[in-house]
Amino acid sequence: MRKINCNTIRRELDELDLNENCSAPASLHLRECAECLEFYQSRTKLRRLVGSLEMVGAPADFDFRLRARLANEKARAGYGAFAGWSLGVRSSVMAGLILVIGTLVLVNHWRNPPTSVLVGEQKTATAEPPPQIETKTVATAATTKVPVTVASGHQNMKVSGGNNFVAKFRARQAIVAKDFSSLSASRVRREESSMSTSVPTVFPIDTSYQSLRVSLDDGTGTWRTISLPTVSFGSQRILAKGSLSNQPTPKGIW
Amino acid sequence: MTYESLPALMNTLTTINELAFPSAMQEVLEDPASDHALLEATRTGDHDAFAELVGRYRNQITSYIYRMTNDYDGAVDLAQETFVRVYRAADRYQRSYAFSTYIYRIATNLAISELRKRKRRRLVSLTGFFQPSDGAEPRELNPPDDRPLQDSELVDAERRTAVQRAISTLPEKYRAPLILRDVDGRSYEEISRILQTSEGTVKSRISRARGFLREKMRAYI
Repeated sequence: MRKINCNTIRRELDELDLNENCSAPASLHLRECAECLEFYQSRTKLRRLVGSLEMVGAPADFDFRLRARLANEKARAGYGAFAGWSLGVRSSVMAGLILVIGTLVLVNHWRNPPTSVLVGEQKTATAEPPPQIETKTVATAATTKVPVTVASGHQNMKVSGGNNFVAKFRARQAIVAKDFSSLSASRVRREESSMSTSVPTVFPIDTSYQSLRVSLDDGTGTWRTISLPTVSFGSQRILAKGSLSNQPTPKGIW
Repeated sequence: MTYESLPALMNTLTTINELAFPSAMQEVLEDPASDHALLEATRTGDHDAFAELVGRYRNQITSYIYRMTNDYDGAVDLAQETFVRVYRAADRYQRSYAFSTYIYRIATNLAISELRKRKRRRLVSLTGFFQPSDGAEPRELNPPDDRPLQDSELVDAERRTAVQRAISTLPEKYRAPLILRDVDGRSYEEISRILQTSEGTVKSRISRARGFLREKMRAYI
């Protein structure tokens, strides 16, 4: 009971202002309790001691330095939004911007590859020796989207119409789709390696009386075979009659 | 008069009050030399008004930060930074509290940031060599000399130095309220506003700070 009372009284004494008188119950308690009286005296002495600390004044050039500092602040504000940024922060921000822009460019390039590069790739594929499995690419004016099988080395990559995402992803990178409607059809040649690319040559078809069969990939992995009827010209027929009437023209010019 | 007519009467009284004392008029009636008025003038570009404000508070703020950090040059720098922040934030200043509360709050925050920076830097000072590594309280480097001194001023100077040193060893959460209360003589209410804590917390911290200080200053009390 006495302990609680002492704590209460001490709290009250502690919260008093230095020159403020304590309440009547507290005064009464201080007369009876030597410990609290000692506490009160020591606290008062301590507070007087702490209160004796004098004010430390600002230096004489405080205003001048402050004005210079404010002027400096204003000058820095001239830099605009980057005024408060240090050189390191500015460099980091610039590096980050460059990184972001570079990433965007790369992503854009990956999503929409430029046509010129693909044409070059196609030409390269055409210039290479024919692959083992003969795959012909035919472009027609009516076809808007013609799938092209790109020969990479000696093997063909076909786009399958399956649901395999990885295969689609890879095929997306490999396949080249191009609208040939505005271009002339490519010429199918034999023994391209032995021929000069600049000199136009005729392409003899051995099977003049056989239909021309062309396999086409419709882009979903399905191959369609188109048979073209035999084409012959008047001079060809005359020549054929003149040489061997009972034999079909062994070789025709198409 | 019936209860129904009471709201109407209150509205009428409010209107009369607004007519008699419009807000614009109240601003005109404000003391042009008050801190608020000076800051308002600073906002409009009056440099003299700001110089007046600086003149009023530069010593108080410098002294307060010095008591907090125990480093005079650093205290002057921080005091200047305090005024720079006041100037910069003049447009955003709100009159909810007294200007002194506002500027002391800025100064307190700056001083506490400085103390924390120092802690992080872990400056190897001379006193650091004498501080025990087990986390106990640092020993007094300048113990009281029992020999009699000739000059009472010297005694006072020594006491003040010892007090300042003892204050600087207090944890920052006890240091600020103790200085504001016992050195600057501010009220508990104002201290609670400056430190943004409750009055009860302020009283409790001040009491504990005095207890710590009493232990350190036992030789002088």
